[in-house]
Amino acid sequence: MIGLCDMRSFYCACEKVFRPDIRDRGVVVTSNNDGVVVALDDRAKAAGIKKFEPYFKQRQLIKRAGVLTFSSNYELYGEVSARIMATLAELVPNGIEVYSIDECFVDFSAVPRTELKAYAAMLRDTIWQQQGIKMGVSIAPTKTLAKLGQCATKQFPQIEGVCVLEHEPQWQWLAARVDISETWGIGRKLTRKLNARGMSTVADLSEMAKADARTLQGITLVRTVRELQGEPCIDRDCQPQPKQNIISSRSFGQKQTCLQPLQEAVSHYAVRAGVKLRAQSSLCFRLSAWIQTSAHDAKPYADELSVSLPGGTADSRELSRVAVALVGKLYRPGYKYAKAGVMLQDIRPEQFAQQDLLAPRSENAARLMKVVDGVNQRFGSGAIKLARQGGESGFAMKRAMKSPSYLTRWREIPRIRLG
Amino acid sequence: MKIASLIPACRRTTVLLPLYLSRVAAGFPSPADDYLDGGLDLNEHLIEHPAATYFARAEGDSMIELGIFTGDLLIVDRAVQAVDGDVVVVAIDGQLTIKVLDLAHSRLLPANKLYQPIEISAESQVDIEGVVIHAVHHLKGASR
Repeated sequence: MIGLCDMRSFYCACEKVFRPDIRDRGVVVTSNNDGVVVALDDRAKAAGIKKFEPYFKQRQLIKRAGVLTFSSNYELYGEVSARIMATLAELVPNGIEVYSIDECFVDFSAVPRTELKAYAAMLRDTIWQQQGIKMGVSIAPTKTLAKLGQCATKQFPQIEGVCVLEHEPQWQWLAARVDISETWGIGRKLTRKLNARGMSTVADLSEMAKADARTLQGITLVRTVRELQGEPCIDRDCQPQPKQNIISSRSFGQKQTCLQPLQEAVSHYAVRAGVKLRAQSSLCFRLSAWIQTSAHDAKPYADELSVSLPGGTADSRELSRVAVALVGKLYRPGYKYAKAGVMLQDIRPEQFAQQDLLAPRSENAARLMKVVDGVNQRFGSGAIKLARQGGESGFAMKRAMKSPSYLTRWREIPRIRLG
Repeated sequence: MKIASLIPACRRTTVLLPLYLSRVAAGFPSPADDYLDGGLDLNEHLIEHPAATYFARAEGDSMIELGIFTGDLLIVDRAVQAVDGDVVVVAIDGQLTIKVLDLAHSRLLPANKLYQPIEISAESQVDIEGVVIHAVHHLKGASR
């Protein structure tokens, strides 16, 4: 049996851990630059606020409903998530598979069937006591069914956040009551196709003929159907494949008109992309950079340039130098730039990459990057950076309503009044 | 949804003596190298459950008789079960504060005679948010 642990309204819940005064209030969390609402809790949902809709359009509604807004505080969410995962990993016999910042799969094969419910409840209570976060635990023979079980933990308060789907009639009963779009791995487009064939619930999908599934969407849909029938076919560890492209791009906190801040920004993005590239032990053979005004600007402009990197590189200095040079070529005065970005392309694993005889890769560069990554991991990203990256002032994101980094910065730890 | 990479949760930083004292290949090896213990890690001494421990700053004088002063760094453990006599972080009516737990008498006690105990009534909302296991008090120049 496989379990799925899912943190309830995770970002919003993190905002309440050190704020008992707002635990009864609705909360929404906005994206970088406070553009759209990216997370909301049940109270905010009940007030009619919508996820992924622009924040400014919903500001009145949010205010009227007495719902609180926070800019995303990824330092806090990342730390709470890491603590939850570490706690769970210590509690379960066969380890966990972290699936996203607020979900993980747990292998329950070592737990006797009769004890599954109590075991799941114990995990849930522990996370609530130690981390202050509510978690739903669903257990089933396959990952796709475990994911389905989460719908029950959200819909039926009487099961107290724990759902064990052991026998076929149990998951069939639930599948008939859940919309097909909630199925793990079924996106919006595929939902429309399935709806067009007269399927509307998860149960309909579980009865789909495998040949039809194969014609419609290939082997992945066949797997989903088989998983819904209780046959595990998605690996315990679906490790991420090395990425084909690494994109690092952001909207600026305020519009930029001069070249220098643009170059500082892309230099910063190139360095960040380099960290990701090295983390997967790869080299990139092509880099592109772009700058653009807002699409709604009265005087719009957007352009992109790319250049090949013979021999491949994972050296931040090189990536940054190339990105800065490209932006120098792209830049036109007289525009209000809103966004810039860097994309690393043609990424290949380091061990398979051919050396370029004309431009041999330097061992020293690889060692230097290792040291830089080590220092930045330990002392916080940006502890060591290129002079070219600048001070981050103009293009840094706007996070006007961010809560303190309670767990990761000395200056921002909670203050407790002893009165 | 994608698999997100996470920072490791291990809170054990290592502020240690260097493990190898003599690294210069040409030099005479230090006779002490064979006797290294690896140093003492203060985290190991102060923090039992790294993933369930947080730090907080004390402000106020209601706990001075137990040695908690304004500005002290508090180490709070959410994994240990609070029992009577423990110093606990509690949320009372939406505010975090620190008291001594006295469930036997349904009370929360201050550690300063100038303050009154708080009765825990059926309708008051009291949540325990961890046990204060250490208070770190800075002393350099304290008596100057």
